[in-house]
Amino acid sequence: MKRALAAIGIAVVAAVVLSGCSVSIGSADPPVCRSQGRPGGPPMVLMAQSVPSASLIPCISLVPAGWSVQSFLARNNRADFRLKSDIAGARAVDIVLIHRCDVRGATQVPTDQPGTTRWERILSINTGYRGTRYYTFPGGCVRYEFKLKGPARAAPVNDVSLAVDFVTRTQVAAEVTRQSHGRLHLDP
Amino acid sequence: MTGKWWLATLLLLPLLWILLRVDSARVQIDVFDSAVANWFAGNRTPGVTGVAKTLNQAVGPFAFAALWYSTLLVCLVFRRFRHLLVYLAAVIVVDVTQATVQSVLHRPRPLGVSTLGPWNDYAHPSRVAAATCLGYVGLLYTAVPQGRFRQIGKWIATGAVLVLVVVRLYLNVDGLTDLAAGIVIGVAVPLLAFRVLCPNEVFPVVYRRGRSAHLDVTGARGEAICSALESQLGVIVESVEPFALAGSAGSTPLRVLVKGDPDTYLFAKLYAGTHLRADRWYKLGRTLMYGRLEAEARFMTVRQLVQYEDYALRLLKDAGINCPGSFGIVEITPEREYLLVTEFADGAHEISDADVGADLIDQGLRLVRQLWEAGLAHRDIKPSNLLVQNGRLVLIDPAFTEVRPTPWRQGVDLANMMLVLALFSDANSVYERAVQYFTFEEITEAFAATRGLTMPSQLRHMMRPRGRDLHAEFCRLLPPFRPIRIQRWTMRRIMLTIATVAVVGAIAIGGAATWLALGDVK
Repeated sequence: MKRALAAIGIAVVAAVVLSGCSVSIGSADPPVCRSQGRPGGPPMVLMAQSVPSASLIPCISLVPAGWSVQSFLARNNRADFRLKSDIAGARAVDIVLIHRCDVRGATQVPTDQPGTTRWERILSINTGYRGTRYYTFPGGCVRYEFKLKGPARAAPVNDVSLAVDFVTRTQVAAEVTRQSHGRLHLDP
Repeated sequence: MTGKWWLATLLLLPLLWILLRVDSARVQIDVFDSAVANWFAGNRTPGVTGVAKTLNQAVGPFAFAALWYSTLLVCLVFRRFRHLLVYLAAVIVVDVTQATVQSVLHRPRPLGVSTLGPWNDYAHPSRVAAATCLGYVGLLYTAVPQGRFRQIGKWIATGAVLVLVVVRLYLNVDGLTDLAAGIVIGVAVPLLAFRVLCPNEVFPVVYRRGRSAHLDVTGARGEAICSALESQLGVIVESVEPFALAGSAGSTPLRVLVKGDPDTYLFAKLYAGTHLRADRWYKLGRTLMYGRLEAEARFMTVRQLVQYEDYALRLLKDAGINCPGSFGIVEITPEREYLLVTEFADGAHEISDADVGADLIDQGLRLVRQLWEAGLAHRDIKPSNLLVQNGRLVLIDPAFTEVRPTPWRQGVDLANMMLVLALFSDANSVYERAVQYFTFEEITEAFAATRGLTMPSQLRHMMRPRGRDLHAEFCRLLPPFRPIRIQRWTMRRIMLTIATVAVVGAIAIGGAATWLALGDVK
């Protein structure tokens, strides 16, 4: 009995120890556009801090069936999150918020997000779909890096267009001020 | 004492985390952190900003890498593998804790102030503060001996961490609350890990060879020992002093002077929790290295440990073996510290200092024969456990004595006794006397079962400088034999080996990987 308990204990310790290897990859807490019915949850505030000049912040408005948020990481000058698809692969698309994008070689197309200019660059449609979409706006840029796998090719791109939306920096700042009863402000 | 303060602070951290989950409290803390950040931002100047950025981005990562590689190097060079594993385990615990807290609290940098340096992920607790403190504590507890030097090191580390705190606040890459939480985690976790799993009393950081299991017997413990001896054994203690520390690794040996006419010495061995833990690790090591030959169950309490040695001593005495008589066990602190009190072999000296002639050789061989006939194996026959008192051989330290051992284990006792005797005489003389007490087959089997691993390390170390391969000398005197394969694999040994390799490997790889992840704290 004691040996069995010891073996279980060792297994638990080993599991805990091994799990230590997989942390620190980045929080997978999704940057949803609305938290408790209001814009500007903690991940949105962190994204706003990461690119202080950005007037728009990308976020998840809804997660289509078969999709999930795999990771979210924010640091100074860059914030990104990754969407995973059951059909299009674990690295289907990375959404990256940065200060500026290099859109050379990309084609400007009509935008579906107010206040932005949209650019598309298609790299490959032979096996799946590889391409980059840019939304440029005052003070920032959002880049969608598609690496879609499978026979559906570019079809899941529409899912991503539905899933990702933008909130304005002003909305996030207003929510910070409201929650602190006017005592805190997002920006200096 | 500082350990208790850090533990208390660590236990208070969850309270802070609960407050940070309550909106009203969180806003208050946010306002406070922002006010501190604002104060620093209001005092920014181009010159100071340049210095702060340099310290944060250039000196910080360099110091971080220096701490990590120094700790690693010291542990490997001085073979402090236990320290290293404890340290790596602490690294994992710190990283898991901070990653979990970060993902639960979602705390941003202080609001309303621009940040001037690189940062990563959520702000609470500060990864940089935790990693830096972890680095300093790790280096201090693996590389710096306890005492004045470590104290100086602590002050230097405190100064360096304070500079880091000021720089991070100035650049607004961390809030004050986040830094404080990071510091508490980064200091308290490794500190407690080292104090519990690598106590200095048992595993001291020293740069000289020596035994390390000795407790301080002055002060309150010294008074408790005297008081317990007087109340439980009825003796009046004149003095208690450490004795023959070099020969003991598993307890603190003491010489006790008691009042009488004339005053008499008693010998005592002090056992505490640290010795119990050391005994467990030692037994695990023996089981892994020697297999079934040395497989044995560990003791669960200090009381069991001391009871067993007292029992073994009485068994040897009953078997007619010349060993110190036991006066019994004295309880110093229930379940924590016990004293085994025995006769003191007055005027005795190690066999290495004696003139080993035919008489002593006979005594040694007869002693083994007595052990065999009583169904016992001493399992630690080496020069420091064989004393000579007035020409009589005295066997001491029966802590590893086994009742009804395997014939191989008994054979190993014989071979080790013959090697010890030959070390201070010669193999031919010992062999000639041995055939009077043992058959050729018994002697042959003894040497067939005895190789490097089964000889006590003291015996091996004493043979080496003399340039004598006594084992080979005996083998030449014996008929040809095939060595007995003593490395037998049992299910217990297999499971223990797998578990040990898995845990040690996981801690090493996980710790190193986590540290590398921590190292990416810009």
